[in-house]
Amino acid sequence: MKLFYTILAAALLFTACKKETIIETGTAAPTSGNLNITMKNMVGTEDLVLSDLRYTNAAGNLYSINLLKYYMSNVVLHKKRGGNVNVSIYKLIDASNLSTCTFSLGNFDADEYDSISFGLGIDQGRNHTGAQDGDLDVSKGMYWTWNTGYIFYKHEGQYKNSANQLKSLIFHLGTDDAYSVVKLPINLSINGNKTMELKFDVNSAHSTPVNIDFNNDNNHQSSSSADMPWIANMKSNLSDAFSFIRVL
Amino acid sequence: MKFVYLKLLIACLLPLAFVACKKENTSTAEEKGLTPYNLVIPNGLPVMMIPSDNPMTVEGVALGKLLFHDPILSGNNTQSCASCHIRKFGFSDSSNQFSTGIDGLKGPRNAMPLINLGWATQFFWDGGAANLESQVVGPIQNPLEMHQDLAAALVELNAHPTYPALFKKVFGGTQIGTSMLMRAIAQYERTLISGNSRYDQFKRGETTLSQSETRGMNLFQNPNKGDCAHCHTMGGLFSDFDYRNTGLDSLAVDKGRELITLKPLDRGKFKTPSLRNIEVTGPYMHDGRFKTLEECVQHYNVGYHYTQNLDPNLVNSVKGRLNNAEVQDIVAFLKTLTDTEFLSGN
Repeated sequence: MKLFYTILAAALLFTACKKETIIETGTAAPTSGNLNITMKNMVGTEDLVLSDLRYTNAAGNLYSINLLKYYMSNVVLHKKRGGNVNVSIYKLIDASNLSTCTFSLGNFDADEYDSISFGLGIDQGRNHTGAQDGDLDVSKGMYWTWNTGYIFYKHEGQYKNSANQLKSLIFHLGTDDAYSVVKLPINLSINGNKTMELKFDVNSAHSTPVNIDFNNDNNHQSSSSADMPWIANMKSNLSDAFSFIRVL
Repeated sequence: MKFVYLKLLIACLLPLAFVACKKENTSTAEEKGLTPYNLVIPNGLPVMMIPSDNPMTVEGVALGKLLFHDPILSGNNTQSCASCHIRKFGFSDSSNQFSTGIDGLKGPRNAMPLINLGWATQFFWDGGAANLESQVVGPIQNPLEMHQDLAAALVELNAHPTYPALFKKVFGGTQIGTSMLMRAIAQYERTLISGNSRYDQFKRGETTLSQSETRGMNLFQNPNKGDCAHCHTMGGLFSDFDYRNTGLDSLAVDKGRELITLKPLDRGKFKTPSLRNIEVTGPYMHDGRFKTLEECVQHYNVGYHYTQNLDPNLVNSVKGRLNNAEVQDIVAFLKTLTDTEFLSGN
């Protein structure tokens, strides 16, 4: 009994203070390494080119992407042999700044990982105050100052409407209803430092499962009850707009 | 016996295990060389809950007060928070129905008084700001108000001759971040406490109310007469901090709370404002449409529209239930909520 209490106290005192970023559940191996994620923002098979009216979505709309920013959060790596590694992270990806598209998830023990999950946006627990730091600093332009909450995904650009006129395209996705968890199969073997490339396909965010036609949906800022169907559509589209490319 | 000691030891160590893992910014004010702020709560007001990630310090409150009054936070450095939140008007914007921002544009709603904010739960007329810290950046960024880009504000503050040292003293770190700005101003705003009106003095047995004021107080609470206390809760705060459509328009011009919840059932709903210092905070309602307290009371007596989302309390009320003398009595009572000590403070 005494031993039990001593172990309990020791366990609580020491394990409780581990950095919350990594909770290892497996055994340690000697060839650990840092894991970077690199987000490749693409349209179809092409690397994203900003501010160029060159893309056509599934609905047949010609469009451009002048600005593309989104939050990735709460990354979980799933081990092939069972068990997870959780990384508490809130990372803002800005397509116009490649240095934001590669980020470290920290140090990992050598192991095989067969899937990754992450939040697209900010979970409810962190979405209801602006007094936060790092990528959640509200000066990053991804926060509604009149309605506390983060903009999870921002796409601004232009499109040609059915009358062949150039119109502005504004998609600001947010609210707790918009938060989605993306889960992807991966083939990752940690053995020294690794960089894992993931793809985000903007066209896929406008199709599969729901085709979004910019003639009908072109200005949504998650600020009216009329935005709710679009929020639901974007949420399901974004869930499968990401894929695994390779590990370097 | 030995076991008892061991259990005691465990009991002492257990809290340590949890405390030890708290974020570093929760170390006590004294450890950082700061002085904890002694918030004095007047008799009759409830305990104020201070968020654990923003403990109040003398230095933090002073920094917040400096920022509140500094036009550096506006786009062209011409307006501060205090430009439209003026102490002698209960931190509202004098008799202006709508305040004029730095670009000469007017906003769509009346500047709110800043009184007893430490007890409120959400901020702005529609409750869009989830906490006091989050509220701070709304008016700074709003193009119709101080119209400042937040990143630009940080650049200015970080390049300022004195602010970097003041922020570092209070919050640590090497750079001023937006969260520090939000926390400092929120700390100052929590000190804006009004609890020494004639009504408070009457409740403490230090003064008496006139016959008209006493009748007004009773009418205010009578569910078949004023029925004001239903929402403007009697006692300390004079608000239930809930949102209601009070039938100002048959079709809501301003969607109000719906803009926040995205629910049509919240259309035209606005927060119940506190009535403290109401004598000096006019004009009234979210859009400042009423110039006098008589107009406000008459709205609830006869003026409200049977709009779709009308508050059930008004649906069930009888129009014309107050005569003119009773309206005057309620207004007389409302004026006992004026706290001259608060309004003349610095």
